[in-house]
Amino acid sequence: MRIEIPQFIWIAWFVIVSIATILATIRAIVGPTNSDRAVGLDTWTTITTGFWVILALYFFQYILLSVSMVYAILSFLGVLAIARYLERGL
Amino acid sequence: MVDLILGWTGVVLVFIGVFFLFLGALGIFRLPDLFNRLQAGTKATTLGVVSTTIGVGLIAKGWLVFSLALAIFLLMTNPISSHALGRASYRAGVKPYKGTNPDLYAEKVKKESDQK
Amino acid sequence: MEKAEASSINRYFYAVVLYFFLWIILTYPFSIQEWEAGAAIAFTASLLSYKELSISGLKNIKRIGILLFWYLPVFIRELIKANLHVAGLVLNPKMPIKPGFVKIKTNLKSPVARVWLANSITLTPGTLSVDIEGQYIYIHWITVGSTDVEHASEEIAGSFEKILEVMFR
Repeated sequence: MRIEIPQFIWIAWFVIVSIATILATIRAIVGPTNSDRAVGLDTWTTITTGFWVILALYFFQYILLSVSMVYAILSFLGVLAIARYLERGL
Repeated sequence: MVDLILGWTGVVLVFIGVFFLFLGALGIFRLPDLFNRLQAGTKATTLGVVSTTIGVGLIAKGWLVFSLALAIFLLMTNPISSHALGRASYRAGVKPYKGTNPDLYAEKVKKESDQK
Repeated sequence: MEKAEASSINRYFYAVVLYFFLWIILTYPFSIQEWEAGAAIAFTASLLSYKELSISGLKNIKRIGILLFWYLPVFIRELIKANLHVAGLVLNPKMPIKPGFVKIKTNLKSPVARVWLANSITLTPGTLSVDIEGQYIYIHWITVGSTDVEHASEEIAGSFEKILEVMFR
């Protein structure tokens, strides 16, 4: 059960999150150093976790919430691995 | 009635969350050096994703428990990853923005690299 | 490696309680079958990992209580303040930033408490903890207020240090 949410609210959410994702992606592409790219990637994954949660609500599937949990765990581990790599190499 | 009030509170929370996610990305895009970017990125996106998650938990009935667990997990892990990135990139030789003053951390890093 | 405060059996039961609680949360629509499976898995998984999970055992449950009812309200207030600060900074066309690395001194003894303090500092207005070295925490501050160690410690860590001192006593 969930309340009826008007179409324009969904569109507003998706548009704002998409713009945020695009800005983070630009930072992840442009750089200028590898560390900047890692920071862009970190922000990107956090935004995507939020996006998964909204998608779970949109399709109204409880299982997608679990997907976002797994995504959050994996992105955390990934960012830690990247940080370790930046500090002293693999 | 209660459902309706909780649901619309949730919608407002998701709006706030989405807005702060956007602000975090804008901060990443605009600020001049890595550490300032990391600050904006961490704080704004953490509040954004936590607020979004709790809002979704309020909108859909019966999701609140899991979404609170997800929110607590994100609150605990996000600062750690940003801390790791900041420390690693300072040691990897990223120079802070030229207006950075004072820079007490530089002394420590220099001392440690001399010891090696 | 720090010396453990509590006995192994104490730490083992703390791990069991924590894992079982986590299992209940993650399989939320409650059912008795899930709980049975969860109990079996919690006892087994704790056997493998209780040494790494905690050093003070069941005492941590009291700490989680303090965490929820005292630490969390202060923390949420600071988090919202921090975000309004960031929002003001990012949306301002001129971006009035004045960054710097300062160091602060903490009186907390336990390493876990120091980690919590560093984590809290990251989410409070304008500060990001970069490194810990013994009693000192190095902090990137986006609008530097004072470079003096004592003064900066009071300004940045003051409100959390009191709570964490009680929490990790």
